[in-house]
Amino acid sequence: MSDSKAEASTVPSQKPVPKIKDISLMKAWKDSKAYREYTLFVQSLNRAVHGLKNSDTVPLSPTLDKLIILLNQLDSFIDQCPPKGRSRFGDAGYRDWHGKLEQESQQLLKDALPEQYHNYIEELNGYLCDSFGNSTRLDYGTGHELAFALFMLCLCKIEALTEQDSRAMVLKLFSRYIDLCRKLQRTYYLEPAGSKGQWCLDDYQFLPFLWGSSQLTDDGPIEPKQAIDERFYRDLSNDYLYLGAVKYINEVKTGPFFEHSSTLYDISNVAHWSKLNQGMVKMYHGEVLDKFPIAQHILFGNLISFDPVPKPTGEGLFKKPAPVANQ
Amino acid sequence: MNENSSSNTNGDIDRWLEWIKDCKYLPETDFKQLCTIISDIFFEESNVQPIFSPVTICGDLHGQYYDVQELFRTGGYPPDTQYIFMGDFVDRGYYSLETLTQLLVFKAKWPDRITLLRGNHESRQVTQVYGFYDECMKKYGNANLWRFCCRLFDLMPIGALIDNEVLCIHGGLSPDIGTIDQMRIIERDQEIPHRGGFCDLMWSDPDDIDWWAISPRGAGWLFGEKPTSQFMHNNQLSLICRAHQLVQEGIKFMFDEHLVTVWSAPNYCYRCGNIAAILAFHTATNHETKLFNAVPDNQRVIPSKTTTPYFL
Repeated sequence: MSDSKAEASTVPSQKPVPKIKDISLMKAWKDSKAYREYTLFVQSLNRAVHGLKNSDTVPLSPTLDKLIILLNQLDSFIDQCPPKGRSRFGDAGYRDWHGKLEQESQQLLKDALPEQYHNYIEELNGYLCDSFGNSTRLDYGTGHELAFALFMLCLCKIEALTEQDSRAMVLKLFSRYIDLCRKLQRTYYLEPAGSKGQWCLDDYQFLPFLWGSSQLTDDGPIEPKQAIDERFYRDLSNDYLYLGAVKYINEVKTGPFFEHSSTLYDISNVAHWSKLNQGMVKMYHGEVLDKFPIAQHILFGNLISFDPVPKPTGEGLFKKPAPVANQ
Repeated sequence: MNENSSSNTNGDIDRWLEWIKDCKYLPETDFKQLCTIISDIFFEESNVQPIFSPVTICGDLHGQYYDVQELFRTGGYPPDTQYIFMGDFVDRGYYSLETLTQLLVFKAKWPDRITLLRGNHESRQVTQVYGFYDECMKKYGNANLWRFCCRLFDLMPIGALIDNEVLCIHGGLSPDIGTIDQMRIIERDQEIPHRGGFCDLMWSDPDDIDWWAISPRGAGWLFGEKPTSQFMHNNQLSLICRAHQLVQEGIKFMFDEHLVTVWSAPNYCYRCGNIAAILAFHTATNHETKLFNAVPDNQRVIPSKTTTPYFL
């Protein structure tokens, strides 16, 4: 990443657009700079939160703090956009909320970011506005979650957030994002976008399970097989993304867990958290990044580039992930 | 088929009926044999199957095997009760394979007493996104059975016409299709196309608009009261029955009771908390709604944990 900021600043900020128009472009996506950088980003954050609780005290930069405030403001819009009543999935009140998001987001980003980053706002705004669901289809899924993670990656690439923020990015910012998304899902009854239901992990999210399984360790408070048992996770769900996600599923779903969440039920049989975490990384590629129905909506611009990784060497494209304490 | 093989087949069907009662999917070779039997039956059926009342019509099921048993307890079992199922047998629920197997075995046993129409989920593309493909991979360890099922989906009838006046179809109307005769000449033996009349019949939704509007689903149309009444008049229909959309109360009449949505998957996606409905026609004009709820947890069998490939 040493040169990425310079590279990015030489070209004007642009509104990011989808580029994976048909399935034949999936190979180009997997060979792209964006794919490589995003994969390294997810793994780097995965290592950063190893063994940590959401409530742990970690370095929190002023920018990250302001981004959390931005999410709080988006949350407050919900009260101004009440649900309108529905007959099936998706409450039309969500369109009001999303309209307000689009109307206010650029200004909110200006308020949150120091002026030197304001050149990038148009590009950042594309990812932010795509992070909370689709206002036409009234749905939300892992593709929107991916947009938020790309938003965080963009902030790192322009160095508005730095390596020092990596733990707080997951434990504080992403965790706040997930809370907001859950509130949106429940308030407006958003349809799970492209959901395989129990054949994937969850109707809406993936990353809380991925990063969340890194937070949990074999010498920690809970074993994988206890993670779906309310008696064990009840008091831990605020501190661990994985357990919070299981708790949320049990709040919104009824019927037997082994039916509505059969994959989570099956993998509770995995003996060690480290094994489970490795599986999550593989599954994230297999079920999210490498799936055309999701990839077709990914936005690309100057920061998240669809250009191929230069060959033969891929060195120096991305800042080497920081060595993490406790490893 | 000679008499001997026919009686063998009957023996197989009876064996499968016993097997599926316990929510057990069939061994691969048996399921392939079942698919072959059903293919032959579908092949003989029209795009728009003529049906005579009394008949009970059902909406989306989405792999909720235990709730389908409740449906039969509510509506009666074939052959005593005649059924039309309006598609979306698979995806979303945990037991798509068992649900489909149950319906196919009934169809094999009493082909004239149960009509299975195609829904938008009976398609290669949709089942790869919404779970049925993954379910087949998990339960059979390969995609062969999924391919067999998709081949079968291609052969499913598109609609049914009760007593010449009640049209049953999964989604709704199409601006490209003005008459039932036009439905009869669709080349149905194919993957559901991305646009055009066949696609619309599988994907469209009624809405409180005058004519037509773009559908937020990205396929099919929203259609209003005017095209509906025009279509009904042109085809001398008294009612259009369709499924495709969750209804919290299980059943919803629209357009001055000329169109009805029937939804038969209670507590859809394990989260919606809705009631399910089926609609029993004593005659074409005399019908009765029957409601049912999701089967409680304690009446479902807990499967053993299996290993998911990513976590090996």
